[in-house]
Amino acid sequence: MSNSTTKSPAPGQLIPDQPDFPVLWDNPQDAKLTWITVPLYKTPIPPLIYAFAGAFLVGGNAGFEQTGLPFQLRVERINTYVYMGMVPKGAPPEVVMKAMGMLNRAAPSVFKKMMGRMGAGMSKQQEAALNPIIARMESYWYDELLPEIKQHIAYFESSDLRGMSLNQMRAHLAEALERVERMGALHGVVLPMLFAMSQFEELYCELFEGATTLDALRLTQGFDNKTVEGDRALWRLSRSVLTIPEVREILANQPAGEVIPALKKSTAGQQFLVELNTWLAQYGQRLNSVFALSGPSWIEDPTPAIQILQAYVAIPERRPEMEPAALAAEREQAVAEARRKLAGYPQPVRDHFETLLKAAQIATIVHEDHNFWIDQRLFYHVRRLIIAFGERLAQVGTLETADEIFYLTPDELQNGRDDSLVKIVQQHKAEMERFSRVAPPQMLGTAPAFEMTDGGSMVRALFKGEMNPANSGNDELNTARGLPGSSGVVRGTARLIHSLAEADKLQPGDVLIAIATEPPWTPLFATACAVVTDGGGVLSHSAVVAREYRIPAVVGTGNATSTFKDGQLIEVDGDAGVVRLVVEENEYEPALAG
Amino acid sequence: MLASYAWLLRKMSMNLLWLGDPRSFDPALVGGKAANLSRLARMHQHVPDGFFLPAALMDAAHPLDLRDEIDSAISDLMACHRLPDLVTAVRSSAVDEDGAAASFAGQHETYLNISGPDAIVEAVTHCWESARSERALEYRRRQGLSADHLQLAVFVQQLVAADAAAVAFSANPVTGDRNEIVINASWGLGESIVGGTVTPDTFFVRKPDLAITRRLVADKQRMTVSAPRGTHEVDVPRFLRKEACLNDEQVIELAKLALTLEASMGHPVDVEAAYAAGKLYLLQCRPITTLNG
Repeated sequence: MSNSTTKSPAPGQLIPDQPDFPVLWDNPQDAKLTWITVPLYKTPIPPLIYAFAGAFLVGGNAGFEQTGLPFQLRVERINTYVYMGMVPKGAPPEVVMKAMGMLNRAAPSVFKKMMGRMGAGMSKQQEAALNPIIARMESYWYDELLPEIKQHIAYFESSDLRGMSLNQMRAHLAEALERVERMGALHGVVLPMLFAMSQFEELYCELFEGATTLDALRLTQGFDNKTVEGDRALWRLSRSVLTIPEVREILANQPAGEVIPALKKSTAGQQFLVELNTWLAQYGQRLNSVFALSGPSWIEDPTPAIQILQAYVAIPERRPEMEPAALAAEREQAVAEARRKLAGYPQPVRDHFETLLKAAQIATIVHEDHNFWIDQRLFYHVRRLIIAFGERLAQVGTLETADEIFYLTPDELQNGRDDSLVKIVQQHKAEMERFSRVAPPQMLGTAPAFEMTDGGSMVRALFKGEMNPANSGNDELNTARGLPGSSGVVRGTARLIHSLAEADKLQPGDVLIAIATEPPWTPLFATACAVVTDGGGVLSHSAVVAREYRIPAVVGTGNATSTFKDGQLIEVDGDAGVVRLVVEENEYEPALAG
Repeated sequence: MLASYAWLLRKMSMNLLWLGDPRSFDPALVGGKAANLSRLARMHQHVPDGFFLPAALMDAAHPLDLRDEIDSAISDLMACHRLPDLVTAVRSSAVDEDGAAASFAGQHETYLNISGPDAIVEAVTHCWESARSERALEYRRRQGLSADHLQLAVFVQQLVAADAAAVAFSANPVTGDRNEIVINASWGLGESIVGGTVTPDTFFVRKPDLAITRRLVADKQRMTVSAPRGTHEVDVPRFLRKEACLNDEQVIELAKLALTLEASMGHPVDVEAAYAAGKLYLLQCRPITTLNG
């Protein structure tokens, strides 16, 4: 990347434009904010996907509002890339910000003290907003949020896409955008969810000397959730494959793309297809990545599911479907042990512990279930309506192919003259083509005047989730250092997975290495012996699911994907948060002999 | 069941004496402090119940020979207060020596959080043995006390799992103001307040109308909690450090108790108390001797 060599901009100063990435601000004030790229979406985003992704992310502000976070999120598509800006709420005027930046440089210790006090104040505010929610975490999710989430999904399920006129399609698209924004607000449940897990983890480590974060989170593991439920159902499907020789033969020997046509040829195969389709109907309403709206869902193209089935069929012995019981038993033992230790503590301590434990346990379920309902199902339905709309436009000749619809903004779709849309599509395509060859700057606008040392307990919680600022000062040879994500030490072959399309590379016993693992990937965890990610913290999706699969995980390394190569033998230490290249003893021999 | 009358219902033991039993008001049998507590228990229902192994008994028998007595006292105590299990404090005191220095020489021993007959007998045995240690006997000889006849009593008392411990002064011990009640309170058992390892919350109550005039809520860093077979001091979790450990009703309830005790003693008092599961327990009451004016 070109930006690895550029000097980082001075704090509080305007960041100069990268020559191949000139920025024209619609509103010049925006240049005074700090804009950062979203690590997972470092490719150009077509306008229509941006419209839905942006509406969803901005919808999340309702969540920030509710939780007393001191900033608001803005999302902009700049030169085809998605950037996020944090707008400080009720922020001191620029002069004060500048003065704070100066104080930071002149008297760092005074500044640190000041920031510490601000952090404590923010914690108090965030806790005041969030404690009532986490005290009723179970009903908050199941009674207050989930029914509405299901209503939105039901709206999409019941809409008759085939029967709509073009005008009805346009109206439906507008309605969908509003509902996606509302779902973004409902997705705000991730804030109290992470907060509950983080607060519990912090209290546990405070109460029990020498306890680690992973010790704390052991008390929240082993509950059923939609992720493990779907993965286990797929695993059970693979067990029934083992008992049907014809089907087993096909899955073992055919390439993934040939499996379904081959199955259709035999009665046993057809019977199995019915089972597979039942699974897909329930769990296949997912795309390969959250905002990957231009790619097929698993229902449209079940190849990812077939590949995972094939990997499962190759594992005759492991029984992850049996492990929830072991996980739950381990959890209950840890809970009992903690309660025994706390028996002699003052009542308020025991009460607070129980409140946070319960909230963190529910939150761990919500951590996965919200993905199932919102991140996966919602965007599955959004894709369906976009494709149906695109197909209709292609039918009437407004577009050449249905897929071209992704290169139009909602506004262009609502108001553009039909005969000009193809031209607009070409312009957007050309722009994306041009910027796909550019490495987008990490940061645009104005460099932050100072670093927030403590944004309060909610910000700490966010950092433990997907927003963990990746470890940067990491230059040890053949080693990646991150955070413990899930206990255990294991050796396996490194396998770099950038997208689900590469999932078939992963062989049983391999180490899955990724920038971050996304919710649809979890069935891979049954095949992998360990998970390593560049981003994310101990409460990220990768870490939470790795714990449910009882495989070691190291998260937030910052450089695992660039440190290791496919096929290398590596050792993952999930307790220490370290990944190392294993140097085989016989590799030393020539050196010793010489 | 009121501790003060419970002893009447129990089988009369020739050897053990119960808290509140007038026979245990005798300092020569149970020690001065314990005798006071026994009187207190007779008058106030808040004192946690317990029984004494009087000095004469301890002199005549090894604790292991008293196993049956102790066992039945424990089951009486549990039955009487409907306790599913009994956690106790076992304390010894030399009945002829009440000086502060004595605690360093086996004259006063305290074992907290002792649970079950075996552990209680073991703690009593420790008291018995430490009083007979060479160091203890040497101390007694130097004090001019008898080294042949041991004057040691042991008190086994229900230990209150305190959520907060408090010391109430029925007169301000610093200013000498007799119209002001001062209450110090902190999280957990009382050891951290008494031992001075924590800055407690302080509440000031005006005597005539029992109005709380000032609340100084401290940053309470440490607390003593009970652990299996003892206690230990731990950090107070951050969420609780700056929370007041008594609410206003509790402050006033405690102030009233201090007033009652002052009236019955006829002198300003300092009262050790604890709250457990919302209930007030009276642990100790002494006259304030340092008061000027």
